[in-house]
Amino acid sequence: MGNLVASEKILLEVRKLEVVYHKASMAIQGVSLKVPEKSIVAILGVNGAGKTTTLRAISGFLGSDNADIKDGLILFEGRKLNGKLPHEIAREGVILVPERQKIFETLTVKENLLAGAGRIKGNIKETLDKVYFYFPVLQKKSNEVAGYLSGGERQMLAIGSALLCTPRLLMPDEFSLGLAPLIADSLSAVLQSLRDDLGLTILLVEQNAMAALKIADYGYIMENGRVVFEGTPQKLMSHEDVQEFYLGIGEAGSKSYRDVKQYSRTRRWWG
Amino acid sequence: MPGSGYFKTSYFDDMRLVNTRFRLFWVMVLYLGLVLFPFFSSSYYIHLINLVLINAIVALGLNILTGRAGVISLGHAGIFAAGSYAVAILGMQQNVPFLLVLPATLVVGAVFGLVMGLPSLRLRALYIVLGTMAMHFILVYIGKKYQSLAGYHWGISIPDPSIGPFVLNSTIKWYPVLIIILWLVTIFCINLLRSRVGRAWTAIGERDFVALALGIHVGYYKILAFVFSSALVALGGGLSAYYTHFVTAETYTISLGVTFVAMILIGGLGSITGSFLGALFVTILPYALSGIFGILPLPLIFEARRASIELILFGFFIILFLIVEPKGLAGIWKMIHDYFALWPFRYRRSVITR
Amino acid sequence: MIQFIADSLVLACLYALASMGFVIIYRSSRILNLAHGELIMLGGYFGFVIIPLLGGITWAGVILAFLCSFVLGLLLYFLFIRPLMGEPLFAPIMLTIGLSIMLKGIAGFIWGADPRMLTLSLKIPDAPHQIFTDLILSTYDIAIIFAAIFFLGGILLFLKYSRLGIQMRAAAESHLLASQRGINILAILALTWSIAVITATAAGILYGASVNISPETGLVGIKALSVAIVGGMGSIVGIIPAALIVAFAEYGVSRYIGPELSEIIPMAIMLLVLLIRPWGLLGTKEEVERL
Repeated sequence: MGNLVASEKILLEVRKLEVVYHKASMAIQGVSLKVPEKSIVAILGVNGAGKTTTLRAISGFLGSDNADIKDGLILFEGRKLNGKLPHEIAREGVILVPERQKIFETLTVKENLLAGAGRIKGNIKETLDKVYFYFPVLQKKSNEVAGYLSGGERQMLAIGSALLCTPRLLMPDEFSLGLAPLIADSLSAVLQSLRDDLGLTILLVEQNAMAALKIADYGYIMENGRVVFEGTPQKLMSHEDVQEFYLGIGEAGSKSYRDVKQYSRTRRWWG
Repeated sequence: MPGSGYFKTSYFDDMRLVNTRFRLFWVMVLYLGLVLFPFFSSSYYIHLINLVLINAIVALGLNILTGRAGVISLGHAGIFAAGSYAVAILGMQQNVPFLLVLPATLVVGAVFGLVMGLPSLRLRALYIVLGTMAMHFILVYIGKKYQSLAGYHWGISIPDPSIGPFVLNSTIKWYPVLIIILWLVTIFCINLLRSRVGRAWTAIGERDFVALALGIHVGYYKILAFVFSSALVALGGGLSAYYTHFVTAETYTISLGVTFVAMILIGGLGSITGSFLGALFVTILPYALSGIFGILPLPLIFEARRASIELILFGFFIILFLIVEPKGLAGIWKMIHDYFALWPFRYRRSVITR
Repeated sequence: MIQFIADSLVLACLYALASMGFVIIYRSSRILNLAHGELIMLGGYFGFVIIPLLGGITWAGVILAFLCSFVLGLLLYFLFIRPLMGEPLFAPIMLTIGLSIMLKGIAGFIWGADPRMLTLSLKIPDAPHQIFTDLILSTYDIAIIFAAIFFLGGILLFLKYSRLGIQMRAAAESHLLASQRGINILAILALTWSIAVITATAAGILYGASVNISPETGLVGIKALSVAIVGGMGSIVGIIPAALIVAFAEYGVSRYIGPELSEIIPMAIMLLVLLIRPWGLLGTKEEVERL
């Protein structure tokens, strides 16, 4: 499955990933993705679909949740990523922007930004300036303790800190969660500009399908731990079930939820 | 026992402590052994066993608090001291008879345990540990102050206690008394741990947030654990005062408190068997060591530094059991027991219930 | 009067040095290192053994002792602490208890139970110096004050302004997030332990020089606990007022009431703080309260 342009270089590839929780329950199964360089790829799905687990598996952080990668391969630029230590993965350039606990609350904004800037081969100042360019409020509040920032500012700080780790692949987990729509929109614009101007590759996870599909080049839909559908935004948005379940575009004429089709969804996807 | 075809068919069966004929047989054998033991061994070994019995009472008490309810206390040497001083004051000075002093030590322990447990209403585990340590020093200080004010600078001697006309003036006379007291304490603990209170403690020890969510008043039960455990430890302290005939503040060091914790760690947290095994191990270790030094021709320095070697082995075993077998000697015992009980099968869920 | 203040100040500096390592370890790994007293004791013995090896020339010997402590810190971390990282906090605490027993035994075995005077090895005798008309400080009193300022100040500045310091603070707040930012948690935590052991060694050497070193010296660690609690367990800055309070109280009681009572003053203060304001002077409530 996949309609990707063959000539594009694939930065990250996930093959048939399986993650097990507490050695007992399957969190994700047979998940395969391809993320081409300099693109924005979105993973969509409802709560509990396994999206965050996938990101955590890629960034190496399953151990803390009592989860293990049971099967499958994660390749970054052709090199195997699973099995490496989390900070090694981060140093390769695969940077996760977590959904919760995304900044150091007791450090100042500037200290937050500098905390991870370990492997910068270039100029720290240059990257810092870029971050301030995208998020001027961070420069204004650079000596404030991060714990006092608002939700939108925290997200900006989180993305900014991630940028200072010279990422090759940025992975924001639910970047629009809890944000006012205006701020979420401006962050979407920032992500697009990161792809266009800095050549960054982005793999994002989002519940807000509409927002994600506006900026993504490609999307995967996950349900119950599996990838059930993938395609370009046009393809996804024109699919009936995606419209109904993820975009809230109901069937013409349906007036109440009782009109929603009752059928087995998995069967539908492969139809 | 799971998989054995033994089914309980009445409430009486469910409540019985010894519930199969097989077990009854072995318990009887144990009792017989305990009764016959003193007739076949020298005074020296009986003395050792007496010490083990007293330490077992302390271990049972501490296991309630630390093993079940999950509260680490480094201050129980202070409670032990409180029991000893209670004996010194009541038993020796006021001449209260032995059989009345013992319950009094329970009360003394309970009261001080209550005080020591107060921080646990509010604080997290780490801070409770420190609180118990602080309490220990304060209790020992009070004891020391009493000693010097009452004029006993070198310590208080306690004469032999008597139960009616029966004077406890030899190890063999102490033996049955201690066995009976330990037996009562053990039955009490087993039943306590099976009761609602005990189950609350187990829940708290596993995960106190969940216990709270289930409606268990965690603070109340933690204090209760302090009260019961301190009562028993104080009893141990009182018995020890009578048995060793001497009470002096220098004995009750923080290391003693650590030794108590070592007993239950090595023996196995939360298990009755573990308390016995741990007490046995810790009490016997120094004597076993001198025995080994007597036999092996080691350089003289080993003998001179014997106390240090004991410490090294102690610490080593604590660490060993922590990393390798957190269920302690009781866990190892259970592994061996299971191996033979389940053979030729290999697995069963290993949970220490006693 | 001024002598009283000065003597209390020296005691406060010693306590500050002693509790620094304890607070550092707690802050970075949330572990109550009950073996810290024994580390101080061991540090004193390091000084006792290593410094004469270099002919009693203080500075080289001291630095070598510090290097050994550095290595010891790494060893402790990798051998004992890392294996128990996933377990509930109960386990590392018990481990440090076991460790403290073992270290005490090892020290007693190697060096015997007799107290040693470090001044013999250090070749700098403890001489009194007249500062003002009514103020006399001994050489080691002055050394203690300088060491406390050097280490406390140094560590605070390091944590606040250096890149590595920022990373250490980040790691102390959240191991997970720090790893995600590429910070090598293992290296940082190991380094933390090493720094803690170095401060313990400094405290041990100075204590050994002013008083003596014996396997029982670990009990000093208990006073360090008190200072840490009073200041607030996670706060290094809190050590400053806490050490002053505990030292002045203890010394004051010792001078004006009686030395016996003064022994438990640090404990009494600690208990008081635990009952009334458990998060100490500069700690945070969330750290401490059960729910």
